[in-house]
Amino acid sequence: MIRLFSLLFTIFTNVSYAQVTPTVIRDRPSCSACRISLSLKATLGDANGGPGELHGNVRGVRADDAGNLFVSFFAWGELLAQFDRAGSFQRRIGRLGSGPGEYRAAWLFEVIGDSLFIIDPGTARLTVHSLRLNRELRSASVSWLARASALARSTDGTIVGNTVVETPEEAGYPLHQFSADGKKLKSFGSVAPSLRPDLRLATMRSVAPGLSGGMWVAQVSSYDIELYDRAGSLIQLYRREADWFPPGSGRIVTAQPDGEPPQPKVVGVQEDERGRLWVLSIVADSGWRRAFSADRLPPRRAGAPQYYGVEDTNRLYDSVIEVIDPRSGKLISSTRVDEALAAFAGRNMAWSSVEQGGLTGVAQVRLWGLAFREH
Amino acid sequence: MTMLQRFALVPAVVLMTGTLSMTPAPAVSGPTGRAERIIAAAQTCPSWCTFCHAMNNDMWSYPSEFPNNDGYFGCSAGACEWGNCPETEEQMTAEEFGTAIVIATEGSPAEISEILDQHPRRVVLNEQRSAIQIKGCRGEIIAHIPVDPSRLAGLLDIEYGTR
Repeated sequence: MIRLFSLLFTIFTNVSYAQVTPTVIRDRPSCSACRISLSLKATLGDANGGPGELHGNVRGVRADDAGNLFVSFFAWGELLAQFDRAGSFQRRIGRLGSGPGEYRAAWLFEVIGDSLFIIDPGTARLTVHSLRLNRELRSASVSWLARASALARSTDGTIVGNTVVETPEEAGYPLHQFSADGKKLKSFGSVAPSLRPDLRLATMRSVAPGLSGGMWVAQVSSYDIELYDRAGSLIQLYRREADWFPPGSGRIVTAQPDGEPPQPKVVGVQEDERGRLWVLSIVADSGWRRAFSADRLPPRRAGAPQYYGVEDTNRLYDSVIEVIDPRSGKLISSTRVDEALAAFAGRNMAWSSVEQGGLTGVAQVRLWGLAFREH
Repeated sequence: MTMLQRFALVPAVVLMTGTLSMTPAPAVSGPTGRAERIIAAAQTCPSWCTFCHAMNNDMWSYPSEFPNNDGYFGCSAGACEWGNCPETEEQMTAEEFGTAIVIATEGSPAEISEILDQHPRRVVLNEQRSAIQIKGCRGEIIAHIPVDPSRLAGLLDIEYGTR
């Protein structure tokens, strides 16, 4: 009887989710006089040696309230780097290792108040690092979070992470709310939870806190923006219809110069202080075929296909920056820029990277200011 | 769950969905092409498998080389390849895994039932979530595929032998 009740509950819950009617956002901007502009504010990372030289693929850039900037990497043994608002290198966060205050792969992090919340898949730990004291405050084992790909703080002090959880009860839900000590509180974020290894992009989300206390969630492979309330219930769904962004299947397609162009992706969503929604997407650059290496990379194993490597991501992608009014469900303004923006770095800021040589090569971060003018 | 409870659940589900598949059980066909594509996609670059030691070491291993051209979402710091469980565990090849996903996604109740029988510890029906789940070597869920109400009713009908 209990199982029957559970089944009924599941069905009725899904029915209530399904009742959220998508608001379709079409191409025509409602404000023809409005302009979105992008301006270079700083370049982070020394190009010619020194303590501020960065290596590897840049994973994330975030700003704190004081304007300090933090950079993480997809690279073993590359600690988080801190820069001031002018772009001058300040310090590295923590030390290499597996002990207290140490990191093996401090890839994913979020700035919350005057602390960094760092997820280190190398040690499977969530560490809270005080910026004021410059030391670890606490850490917790969070193996379930080790592969998280996005984090956002909620207004109630909890955190929402986008990751794959492999338990029978939670598998298929893309979002997981947890406390500051890494305790899982709730899983949500899908009308029909599904997990397939061939549709990895379908599980990936960008997340950002909403002014109302809820959570904005953008699918990566389709231009769908969802708003969840504090309880994790879907309350709004915006579906952007644009020729340049056909809905994706969730399948990862390896772009190659002799094949189809790279898929568009939503890389960031953010609500500004006036309740407008900013959305960053990347789309194939008109010259995307020139982004690849001249020669194919060595095969992964004997007989495996050989791929061309991407040498310049900024040649592979352009970015589309859009401002949406969620109240009217209308696109306010849209612009396309010749730069592959990776994500928001903070309010009115986005970042891109210039990487030379993959995992061990020198990298620099471009920090961009975003502005919106109504006249 | 006792057998009695199982029998009680089936008519309830059927009543709710209003459907009951009476189609004779077809043999499990081999949607080999789609399965191969699933395997290929999973092996090319599982983006959330950003490095292998967080995965089950018995099942995944670092490839010697990997492409780093899958866009902006990882895949550059590592990728994993499908492997086999230790001998003590129920084996499931990559091909069987791909086929199980295809059948769970679009197969008939009889086809799903056959997959459940073939891999009883790796492919399971999660009734509470109305889904087929495929497990890795440690029991972790590596695929979760919802089953629509009509197919679920048919599957329960077969599994619990009410006809």
